[in-house]
Amino acid sequence: MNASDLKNLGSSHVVITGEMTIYTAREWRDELLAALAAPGDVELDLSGVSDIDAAGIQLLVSLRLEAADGDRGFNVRAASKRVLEAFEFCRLLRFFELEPAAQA
Amino acid sequence: MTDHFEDPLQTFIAESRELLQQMEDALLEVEGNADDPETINAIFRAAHTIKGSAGLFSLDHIVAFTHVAESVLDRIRAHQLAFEPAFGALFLEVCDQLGALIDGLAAGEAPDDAISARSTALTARLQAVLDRGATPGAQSAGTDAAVAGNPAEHLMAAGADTVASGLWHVSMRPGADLLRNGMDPLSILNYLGTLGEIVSLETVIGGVPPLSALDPETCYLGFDLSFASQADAATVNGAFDFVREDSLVRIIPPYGPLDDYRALVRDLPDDKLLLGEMLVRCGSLTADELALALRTQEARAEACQITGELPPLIGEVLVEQQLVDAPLVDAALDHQQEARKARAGEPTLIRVDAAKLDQLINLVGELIIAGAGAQLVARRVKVPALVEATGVLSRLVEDVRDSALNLRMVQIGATFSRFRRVVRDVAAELGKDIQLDIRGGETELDKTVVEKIGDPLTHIVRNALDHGIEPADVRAARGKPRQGRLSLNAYHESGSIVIEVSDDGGGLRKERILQKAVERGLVGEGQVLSDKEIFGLVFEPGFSTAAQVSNLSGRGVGMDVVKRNILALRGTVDLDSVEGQGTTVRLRLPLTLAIIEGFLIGAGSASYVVPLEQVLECIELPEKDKPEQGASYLNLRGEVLPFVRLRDLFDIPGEAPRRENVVVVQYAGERAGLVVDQLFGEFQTVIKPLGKVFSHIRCIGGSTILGSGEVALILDVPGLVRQVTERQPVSRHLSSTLSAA
Repeated sequence: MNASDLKNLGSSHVVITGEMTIYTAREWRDELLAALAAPGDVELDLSGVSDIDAAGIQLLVSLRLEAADGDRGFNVRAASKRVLEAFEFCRLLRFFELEPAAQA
Repeated sequence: MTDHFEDPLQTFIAESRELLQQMEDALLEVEGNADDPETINAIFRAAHTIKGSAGLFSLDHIVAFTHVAESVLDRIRAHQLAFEPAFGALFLEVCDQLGALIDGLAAGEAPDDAISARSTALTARLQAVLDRGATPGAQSAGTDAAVAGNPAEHLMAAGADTVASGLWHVSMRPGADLLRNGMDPLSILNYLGTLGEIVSLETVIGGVPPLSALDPETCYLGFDLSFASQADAATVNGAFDFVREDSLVRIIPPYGPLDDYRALVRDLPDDKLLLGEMLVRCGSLTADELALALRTQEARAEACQITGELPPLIGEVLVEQQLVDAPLVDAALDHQQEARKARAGEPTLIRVDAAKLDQLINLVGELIIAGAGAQLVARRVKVPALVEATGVLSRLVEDVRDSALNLRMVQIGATFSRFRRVVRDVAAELGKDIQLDIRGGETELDKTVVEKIGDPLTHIVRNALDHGIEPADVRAARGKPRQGRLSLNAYHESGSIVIEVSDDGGGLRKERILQKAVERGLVGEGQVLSDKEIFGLVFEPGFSTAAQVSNLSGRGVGMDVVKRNILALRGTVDLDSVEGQGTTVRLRLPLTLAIIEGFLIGAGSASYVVPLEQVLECIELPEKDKPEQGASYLNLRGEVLPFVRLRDLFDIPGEAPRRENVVVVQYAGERAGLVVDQLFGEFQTVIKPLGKVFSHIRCIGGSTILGSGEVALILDVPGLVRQVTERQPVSRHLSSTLSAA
């Protein structure tokens, strides 16, 4: 995983792939900050996230809160099964306006 | 009761008596103002605290009795039951019964059958009120729900506040470095999930900062969860072994004590409101339990801190979200505010054994005497440095004396408010409508004096109620308001405290008192007496016995006893009355019985002390007024001042010096002069009582020890003034003294 994994497709469209854990949290934070700096709604694609831990979750929580503070839309376009499970475990699905992982 | 319980038990007894007094005061207040939630709460709190403390000592009979009363009060304060006028009387009985139970405890006796029977009867009456008041919507937490069962069950339920939830509750606030140390809180919770089923979980995100301020390696999340598991406490605790060191972890077992949840809310750093909600959402607490937790919190001293932090809005929010019933929150809020108010208003107090205080005052007394001795020596050896040092020392000793005496000063208000009950009961008994008016309750006086005036004061008040204030019909016929008025007033006046008991009753009938006095040979036929002297007759021993008084003026039962008690305190009592308008009995008492500022004077070789507060001025005795010329009055700036020479009074041999001085003293508005040889000036006077042998000697109030070790007599100014100013038959002893002189 490196910064090239991030494809900034729109003004604030962020695609995250690979690990979103304590080991990569610092890099992801900088990417997400850049996304926040750009105008428009914040759109996330988490479908490529292979693993997520508490450090990753709190990054997303922080982003979500800050977007709401700035009166900007926040939307998780897609999320991997691993992410949905973690959100479900933490009872954060509603917070991120997501549906539970489909039983597949 | 085992021995090691004795001391705390004494504290319990003392505190309970105070609480009962507060309860009684509040009850009397509530009779006039039943809508005041503060007062109702005060009553509830008193009962609640007594029950709680009694529980600590396993005083089951007190707990059982108080519990039912408390339940009724709880209903009232939750507005589930209206405070009916009859409740006032009922709870006063409860108060008395509790007092009796406490008294029994103090005497070390088990309650006898009569007392137990009364407990049972009162319990039944309270229970009837409860049953009547039981409405379908009324379910204000543990205590009430238990009331319907048998007493033993209530106690169990009330004694151990446990929650209804059969789930474990875990609150975890990972330490900031948890992630950095390679731990993931989620994996720990996942592991926990293998021990049982995580029923609900809340991620606490309140601590997560904005992205720009976020340190990605610091953990900001927290978790609250409830889970069902058959595992034992050690296993559950074990799941957190690796993180316990740097994280805050609280684990409460199923059906855990409510107290643990209170502690939890207190310990965790989060917003108390959110946390409370969360506990409810987790299913660990029911809404009622949360409310109860909040409410009972205040009752506990340990919890004071956190309640101060609780935002007052918590209740409103909880109601909005329909988490709790409005009345419950009202109760919780009321309690909170009250606790806060109580904390603000209540000075920090220490309970000290009165004997220790007395010992301190005695020592200060000795210190003053020793200090005076040192000062005397210093003056004699005439070493300036030493004189100065002893001067500083004596000023400090003075300050110490004042603070020490101040320790024993108490407000008379507490004594006064005790009469609310007396007035209420006596008035009810006599079928009169009487209002008690209290003024000057903040006036302070020595505790030893307060303790001793209770009985005389009760006597005077009862007299006023019984014989002074007329029945309502008579009052109406005389054009007075139907409601009688009794007022208690206290104020300071020249080193004394004055206590007035006034009524607006029928007053004394002078001619009948005089007639009676002549019949009994107290007053000569045709003698002219002033009003004051006539009223003074009421206090003469043997003058007033109940039978005679009731057909004389209906006044003065045992007033001679009152007078004797007051005199024993170096005080005086007098009486003013206007027929048809009322009577005022005025007690004057010294502020303290131990140490006073004195004025040292000399006659012949002896020294005497006059209380400084009673000294008005000193003048030289003018040549023309010397008693050789037979005068015993002098002209003081145009006013007549009667005087007496101490040399004559105490039969001191020898010639008076060429220049004599007059000390002008005042007491109760009367002035008199004392002619003395020498004026020595101010002197710290430690009052030593005279032995019984000297009790018949008038004009001397006590003795004191001078720095030189000599004894000086303390002049009893009230007695002297009376002797000098009234040369009337009432004070025959004086006439004889004077004629001898």
